[in-house]
Amino acid sequence: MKPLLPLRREAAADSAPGAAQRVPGVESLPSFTYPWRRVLAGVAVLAAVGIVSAGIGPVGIPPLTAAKMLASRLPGLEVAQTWPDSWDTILWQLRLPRIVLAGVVGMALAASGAAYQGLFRNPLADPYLIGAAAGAGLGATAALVTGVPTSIGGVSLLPVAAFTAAVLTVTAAYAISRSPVGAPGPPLTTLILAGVAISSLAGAGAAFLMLRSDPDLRPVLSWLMGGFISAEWSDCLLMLPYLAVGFSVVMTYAWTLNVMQLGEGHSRQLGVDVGRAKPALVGAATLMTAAAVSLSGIIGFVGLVAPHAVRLVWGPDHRTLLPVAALTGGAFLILADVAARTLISPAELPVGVVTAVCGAPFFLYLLRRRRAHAL
Amino acid sequence: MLSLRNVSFAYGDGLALDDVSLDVGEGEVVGLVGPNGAGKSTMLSIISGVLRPSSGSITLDGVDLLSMKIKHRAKRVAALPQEPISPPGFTVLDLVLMGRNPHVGLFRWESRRDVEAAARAMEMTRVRGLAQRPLDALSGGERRRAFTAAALAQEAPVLLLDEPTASLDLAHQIGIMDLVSELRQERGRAVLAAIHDLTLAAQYCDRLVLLSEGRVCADGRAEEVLSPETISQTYGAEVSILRHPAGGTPVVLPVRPPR
Repeated sequence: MKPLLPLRREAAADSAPGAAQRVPGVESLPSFTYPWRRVLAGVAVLAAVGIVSAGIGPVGIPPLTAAKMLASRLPGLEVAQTWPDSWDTILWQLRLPRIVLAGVVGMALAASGAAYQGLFRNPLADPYLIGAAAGAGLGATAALVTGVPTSIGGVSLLPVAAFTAAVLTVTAAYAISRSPVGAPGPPLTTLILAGVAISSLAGAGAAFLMLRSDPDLRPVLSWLMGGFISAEWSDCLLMLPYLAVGFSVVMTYAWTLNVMQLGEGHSRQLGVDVGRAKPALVGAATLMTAAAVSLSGIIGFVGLVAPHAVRLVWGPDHRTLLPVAALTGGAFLILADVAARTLISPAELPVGVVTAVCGAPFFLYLLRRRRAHAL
Repeated sequence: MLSLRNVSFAYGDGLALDDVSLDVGEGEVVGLVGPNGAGKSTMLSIISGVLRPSSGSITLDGVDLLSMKIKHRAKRVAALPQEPISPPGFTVLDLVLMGRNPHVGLFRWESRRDVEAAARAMEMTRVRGLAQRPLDALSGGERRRAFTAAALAQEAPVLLLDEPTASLDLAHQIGIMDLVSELRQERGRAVLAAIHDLTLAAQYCDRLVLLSEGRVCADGRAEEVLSPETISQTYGAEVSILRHPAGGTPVVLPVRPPR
């Protein structure tokens, strides 16, 4: 009986005359303050995942030791060495380049996935599904098998070739699925279907190029296998500028992406220069995809899973979604790569197999859930 | 204030608007009426900048709207689309703040002023209490009021409404139209609204413009525009026109053909 009393008192307080004045005033509306905490939480998770993953492998390194080993390389920090020298080689030469590359590639794929999804107003858009990844693959294969030098002055041309081809395939998928009478945006299913068709075409093109090329297919094949087996620090360095440029552009359009969720016509009425925002966003997202594909092969579903998970937890505001999804994608791909190199150790699974096993059921679930809304 | 001169627009092969001229003065509510496919929505889309006319000029206080940057135009012309898309996950406040898009600064974070403008707009359309509710959880009437609030938050002198009362019940229809009159009186905005319900249009609009097959057939006070003859010519429907017992505005009643 006792607990009833305070409950009643609360109910009475709610209906008291004073309660009517608690109707929210202007002050009670939240104004936007940037959610740094969410981004910092993402950074912390990514770092933790990276450190723990660095310890996993045939030679186990405890996470704390791994953290110490990292700290020992920081300038101005004196850390007593409590580990064998061989661990240094394992960590710095073998595991870390691989983890960092998986991280930045995951970030690029997730950020571009979130951008494509916002731009095409379709939560199923993913670099893999709308043809960007396959296009980039075709471009990279073409660059590898033809006699064209793959680098000029030490700067790899692979991302450039991948980017060019990827822009072509995305534009083609978008143009084909576009409804003829200047209607706003293509019907959503058509875009995916066009992307899948163009992906197969690009894949076939890449296969044809390989068959017609020199007998020495090793560079192409190892690249085509995907994954981070041959990751080096130089790959990470190569990836960074593409990620930085692409992500900055996408982030400047974060608020615009929110407005664009109202559809092309309505967002134009609200003052969005769609004609400028669209190519900028397609360009930036495709640039990130292309760089990722040219370094790690075609890895699907990262761009789908990470933004979705973030959207479920923190809502659709792109100003939060883009950075947090990128960090989540990085962590996801690092974990997927750990699974790829440990599950059937000493052999390795292609990392794309791991992401597909996680991502495909997720995609099917989304497809099924969205059917109610007529996609 | 808002002035269209000889505006034409072609969709593919058909002419959707044919040499249309029209003025909306400050503090005036003009109702755009006409049968389906007459070009009402096309006209509103052209004024709001979604479509470009093939010829003609549109000016606001003598300033050319067509050559203006999209963002600057959005500060002058706000529009409520007929069937707006409710993006999943966004709240009413998020939506109304999107109406501030032409005003938000370079770094695209909304300021105190934007939140206040959004709050005012939500108060006017009485969705203030729903500010934190997701759009997909609203009823049809609430959602329309939320989108109206977004258009008001744009704080543009010209307001275009495409079927603002479509699919609303009687009380909500009157609520929206009362709000429109209020805006005209208090803020001196020019309002151009496409309205299907001729009786409602006659009650609330200072002037009616009757469009048919992309042309202006009649332009004037409701009593002048709504006659059984013009309606029969443009809509191809037989009607009787009565006088409203309260206010004396025309009431359009369909006549059932004799069997």
